[in-house]
Amino acid sequence: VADANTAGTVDVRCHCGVAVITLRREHKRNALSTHMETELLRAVRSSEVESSSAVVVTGGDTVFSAGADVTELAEMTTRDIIDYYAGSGSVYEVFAGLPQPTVAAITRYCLGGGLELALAADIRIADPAAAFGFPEVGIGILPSSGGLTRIVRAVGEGRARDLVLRGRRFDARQAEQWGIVSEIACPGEHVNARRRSHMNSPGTPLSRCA
Amino acid sequence: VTKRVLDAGIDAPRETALLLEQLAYAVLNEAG
Repeated sequence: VADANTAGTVDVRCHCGVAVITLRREHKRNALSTHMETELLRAVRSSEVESSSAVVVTGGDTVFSAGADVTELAEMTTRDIIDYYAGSGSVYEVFAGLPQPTVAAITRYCLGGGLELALAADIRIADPAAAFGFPEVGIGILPSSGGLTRIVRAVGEGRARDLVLRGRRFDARQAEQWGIVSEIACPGEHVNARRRSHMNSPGTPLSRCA
Repeated sequence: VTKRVLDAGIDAPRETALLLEQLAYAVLNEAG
């Protein structure tokens, strides 16, 4: 039986030039432990991603990610936290810094660190049941992997203050209205939708699988 | 603290804002 802190993997597969990175820790709602972040960092730096023309990150068919593994982080000292951001915690910036177009294909929970990962993508596509939010304030912390600055830039100062300081959840329709999500896919089609969404744009990297 | 980081991050360059987020997290985590 795998240890709770080390369980989970991250798959990366390339098809028609599009690399699909999939979080595989569904039994923990794809909670982003340092182990999962290390796996994600490995995937983002993989040859499959390097040779791709576009990158999709997804949590699979049941959940995108319910956020960071807070039980693990709570035990860290300040020194540990500084080391964390230089190590596995850098994955959000590394992903955001990829030269290719990136897409977050979101189903169900996209909370906390999961939302920070999604915001690090260029484009977000969600299924209708997706649920978003920054619950960090409720447990005495704050989004700290670039999510705070990205949500301000995505929805504007006023809306960002409301979402972060109240920590309330919002659904796919609201996310689309506020510009966080650019498309709501049919149920179960959130990953494939990234292809169709670009089929009308011949020549774009994501159109090559169409 | 979160409100102060939001305030500071609105006008700061993104790299500075990110560093502020991380420092604030470390402080809050230690305090918690």
